[in-house]
Amino acid sequence: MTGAVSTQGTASLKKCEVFMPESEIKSDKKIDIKGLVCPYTFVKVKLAMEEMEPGQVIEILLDYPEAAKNIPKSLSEQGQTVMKVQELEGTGNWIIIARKETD
Amino acid sequence: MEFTEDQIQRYSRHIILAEVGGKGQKKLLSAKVLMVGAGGLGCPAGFYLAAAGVGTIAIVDDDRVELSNLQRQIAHSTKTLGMLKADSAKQTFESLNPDVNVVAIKGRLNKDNILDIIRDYDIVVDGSDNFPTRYLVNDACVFLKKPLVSGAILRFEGQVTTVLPGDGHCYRCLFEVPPPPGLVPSCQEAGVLGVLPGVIGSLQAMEVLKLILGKGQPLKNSLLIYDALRANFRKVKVPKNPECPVCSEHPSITELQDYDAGYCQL
Repeated sequence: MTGAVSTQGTASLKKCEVFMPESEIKSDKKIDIKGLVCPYTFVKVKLAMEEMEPGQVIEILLDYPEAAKNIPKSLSEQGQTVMKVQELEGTGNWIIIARKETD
Repeated sequence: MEFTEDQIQRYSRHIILAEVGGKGQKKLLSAKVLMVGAGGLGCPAGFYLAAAGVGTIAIVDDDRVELSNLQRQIAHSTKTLGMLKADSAKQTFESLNPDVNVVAIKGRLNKDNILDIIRDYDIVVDGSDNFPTRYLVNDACVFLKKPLVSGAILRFEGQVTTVLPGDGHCYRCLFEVPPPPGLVPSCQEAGVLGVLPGVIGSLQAMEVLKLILGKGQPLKNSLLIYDALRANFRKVKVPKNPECPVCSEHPSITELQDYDAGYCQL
């Protein structure tokens, strides 16, 4: 993966209309789930988002490649908006940014 | 409350469901369910409720575990023969899930004690094996407006229905009075394939979880009938009876009654 923004895992997203430069997205909450594998990755994301208000943005740092595909898919299926999925080149880490739309 | 890491792992398959989530799981953990009977239906129903993390489960049963129970009553075991079923089931459910507080009520429901016993619980699960108890439980739930998930089995056929007092039918809308003693054979006389109560008790547990979570459509105003031999489920409509003796606007039954114990009791 050489590009900054991964299309892997986002191609099927219907709600992934918002792509903004990283600097313009302000997150209300950040979680680090490095070291976790599925399904605990999404479990942690979901529990964190339950504490947020609709409209708020979460930034998720992870290192499990499968989760970089699965989390955006699951978020989208459950009505949230995935704003960005990005591999941090050379680190093995990924960042997902999503906006909570619904409880 | 905050989940422990163990709870996050234990309930992870619930939490990732959109219909449950952490909030739904917390509802389950704070729910209080009372089960009438720890027999064929109560064992699987209680097993799944305990696994799901329903925080308080009361079990009313005055029987002891017998060898002939073990073909279907899966919460008991050869090691608990002779033990009170309420204690045996408590031991099983609490070892499955230490989050669950199981209250063993070693006695029999009657018109004088039932209201006090079920008053503190959110939902009642009827897995009783006799008509006097079935009608007593229905009437008490109607009086206290407690949701009731009722199950019944015989041979190869089972039934499930959910009574939401004030918002649908009750058991007497379906069958107004108990059948005369001796008309309907008991499992003792007629037999039952051991898996059947597993199916019906599991359906009862599913109804309970839906009620706690407030998701899906309960078996309100309907009766689900399972025919094991034909592998067939039928859902029949059960309208609320405007002349129902207990849940209509002008009930003829206004106090609880103990039917004569001329009925076979297992």
